[in-house]
Amino acid sequence: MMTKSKNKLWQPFMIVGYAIVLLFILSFFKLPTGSLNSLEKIDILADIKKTPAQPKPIIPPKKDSFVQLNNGPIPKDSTLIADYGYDADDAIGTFYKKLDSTKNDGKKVRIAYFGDSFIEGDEITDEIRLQLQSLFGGNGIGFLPVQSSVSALYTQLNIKSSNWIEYNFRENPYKYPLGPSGHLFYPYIDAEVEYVPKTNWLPTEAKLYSGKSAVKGTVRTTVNGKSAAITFNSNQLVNENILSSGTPINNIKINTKSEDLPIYGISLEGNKGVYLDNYSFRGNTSILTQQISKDIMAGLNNYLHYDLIIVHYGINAVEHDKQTFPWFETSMNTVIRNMRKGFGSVPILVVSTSDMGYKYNGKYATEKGIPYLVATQNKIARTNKVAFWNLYEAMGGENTITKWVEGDTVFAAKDYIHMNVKGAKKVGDLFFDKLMASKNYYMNSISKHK
Amino acid sequence: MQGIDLHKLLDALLYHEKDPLLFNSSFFLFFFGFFLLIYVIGYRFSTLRIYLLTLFSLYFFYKTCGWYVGFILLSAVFDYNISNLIYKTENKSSKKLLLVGSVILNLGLLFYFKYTNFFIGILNDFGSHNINYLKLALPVGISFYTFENLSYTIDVYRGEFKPVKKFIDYLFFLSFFPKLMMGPIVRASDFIPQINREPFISEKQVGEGLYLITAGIVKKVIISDFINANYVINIFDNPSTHTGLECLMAVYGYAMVIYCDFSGYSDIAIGIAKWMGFDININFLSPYQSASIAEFWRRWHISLSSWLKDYVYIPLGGNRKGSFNTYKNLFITMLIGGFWHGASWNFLFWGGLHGIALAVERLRNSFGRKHLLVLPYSPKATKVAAIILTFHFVCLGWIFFRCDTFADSWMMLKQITTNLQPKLLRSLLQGYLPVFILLTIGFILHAINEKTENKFKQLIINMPLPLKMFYFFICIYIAIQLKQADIIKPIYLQF
Repeated sequence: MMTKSKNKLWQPFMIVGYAIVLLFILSFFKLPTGSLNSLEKIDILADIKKTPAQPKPIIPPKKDSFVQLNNGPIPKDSTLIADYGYDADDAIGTFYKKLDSTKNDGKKVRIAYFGDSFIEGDEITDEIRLQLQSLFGGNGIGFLPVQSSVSALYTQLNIKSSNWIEYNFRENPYKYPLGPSGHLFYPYIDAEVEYVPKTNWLPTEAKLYSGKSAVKGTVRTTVNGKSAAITFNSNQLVNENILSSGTPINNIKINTKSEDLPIYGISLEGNKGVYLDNYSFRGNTSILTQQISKDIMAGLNNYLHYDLIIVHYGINAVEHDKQTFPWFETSMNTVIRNMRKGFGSVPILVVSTSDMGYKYNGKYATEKGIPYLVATQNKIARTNKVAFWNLYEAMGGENTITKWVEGDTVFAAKDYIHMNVKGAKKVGDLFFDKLMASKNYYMNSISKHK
Repeated sequence: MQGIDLHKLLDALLYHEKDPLLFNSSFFLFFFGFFLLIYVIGYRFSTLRIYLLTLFSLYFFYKTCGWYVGFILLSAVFDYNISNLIYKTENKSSKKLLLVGSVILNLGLLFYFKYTNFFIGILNDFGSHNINYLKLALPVGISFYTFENLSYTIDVYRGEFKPVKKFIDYLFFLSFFPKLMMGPIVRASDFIPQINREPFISEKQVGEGLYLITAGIVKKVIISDFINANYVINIFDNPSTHTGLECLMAVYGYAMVIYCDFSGYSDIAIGIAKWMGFDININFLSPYQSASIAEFWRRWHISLSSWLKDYVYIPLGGNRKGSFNTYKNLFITMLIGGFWHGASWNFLFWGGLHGIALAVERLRNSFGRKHLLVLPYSPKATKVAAIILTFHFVCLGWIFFRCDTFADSWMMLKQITTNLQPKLLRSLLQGYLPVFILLTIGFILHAINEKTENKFKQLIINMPLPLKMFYFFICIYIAIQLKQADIIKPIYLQF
């Protein structure tokens, strides 16, 4: 009972003091390795200790892994597109020339952009498309799925879908041949999709891409309130069916009860100019892209006639602090090989990973594996003799992502990976500017050689 | 083994904008340890104790927000003097004039820092003006100490409280560091009588303080920060790229995050005060156990809701001027409460939403119905249904509270209502397993009744001192581990 009446004001000091002393001792000892590996070393004095040396910088891969030539199609400026396939038929130069002539000859120029969540929702690609279309013409968003979990992101149009069964890279129990974005849709009882473009540049053509079906397909299309029914054969692996042509489309609604009709998507476009199709799939390291058969690519290319294929993966291939990516290399080599077989002689552009942050000692900095991944991607482009664009370098290189998340103007999301609306526009503009600069560089260098 | 760098040590003692002092900063542990050492030595000498504690408080404030510490000094000088003047003045209208002056100045300062840019935004949006935004940083704690100043002056005006005789006592009250930054909002009448009393704490109070501080650490650092950094922050950052299910879980997650963050900080503040021999009233009482919104506000941020009741709702007329006025007063009070949280339409909307809910509940009660949903023959089930309903209404409010813009809030709601995709549940749970385990633990702990909680509290009180010391160390150790832990990024859902 005596203790109760005594003042215990000293006890809190004992409790706190004990913790400080123990943590103090811990901060001067190294943790034993082994079973305690998952524990972080605790160093409460880290901020006031003498620094042993400079904090470990990111050791960039050897400079010579980025081949730099003084003249020819590989510019010194590492933020421009380097074309390692400059002496082949499918050099990116063919694409530049087509861009320049599209306004005169009226031939459409078409780009397929394969990627992961970095380009999902069409925010970055939308900016690239708009820039290209404002310079070279074109009206419409290009290829679209009939249902999208990120449909809310599309700034150019509203998508409303109902009653579709979706199969995709991750859920495809019957092994259906999937479309270019890794999706395939089947109508369920009475399926519907409605697209309402929000811009003034209205598309004038709507085309439906369907897969192989034993029975004929019937689709009811309502364009600007006017309905029409179309019945068609869908006996090829990829079939194009024109739903509307000639009139500017303010609103298009597609209904179908053909439950046996597999659908890849639709395309909204004009009759000339540049089109960029966004084929993104969340979480794709590039391995999933191997599931797209070259016959599908070839079938699609019969109608869409691609002039450039962009392959942009990487953020899902990063493994913390890893410096080599052998599996990624193998996978990308396979993907590029498949694309060459599928799309034929079309230039391919490998886009490097963007900058990505990792928490080092409580503060975000560029994930140390990123420069190595970029070097690997550069190597992939070189060995496959395709073009390469260093997005990481063009963004600003090391620790750009930290500035983009923590700066006064915020460009990237708090996951230190993805872009927000402003960042998407910035990256899209960056791509467009560098593409144009690379085109100028190429045009200048060939005129010099002449 | 490396030595200590003296320059860095000195630099660590200065204010750094990017690294303000918080209870969960490692610096605070040293600060508090050093403070307790001095306190134990000098607590018997009344004047020394008061001056020392005030000095520590002001330094704490400086470490959190730099030279804004001047504002608290200024407002202490002003309110101390004006309250004394009000007390001495006998003429009623002069008294009133002084009070109005004090209210205008206190609120004016708060408004200037907190709301100027909001109103510039309104002017720019609705007029053809193009006024540049001011580059203002909000002085930390200003929302809290402004309310403390106001209640003090108003109490003196009402004659409910005799003003303090010594300026240092008032500065001590206003700057008392445990509650300075995030409350609770302390009433002068509760606190000032404790200042000159020689601090005394029993074994029980040591245990209670330890319980509160460690519970606060678990809530703030272990549950709230972890769930927030690993899940909630990413979803709210861009709801349109996430499915409805991810958004819904983020809302539940945020409900836990904000509760644990805020109440955890309050618990630590109250616990620290207790260890120094000061009693501060509890600020949260398991608010998600509420079966109505009115009950929620009796359990959530109690020091704020009681302040609003005493200094806004009742002066407005409370429930004494007919039912229409009661509803109106409830709505206005909650609107002000919402606006107090931050300068944006979202906070106003959030306050308004709660105001309407309180009014609707009152209307329903006037028809003699206690619950919205009455399940036949089962008062218990009815109560559970009411708790679930109330929780979800509160969650609806949190969407507006947390999102930066209305557009984001609507997007969140749209995703939840039109793009739920419940089949992703398994992969979501697998991807973020540690997050959902902690979230579940959080809700289970929240659902525990007072009796069980008291048993646990008693267990800590009964611990012998060495065990208490060890228990505290373990809590700190786990908190530091989690603070340094890697961020979870399940690739299949995220990228």
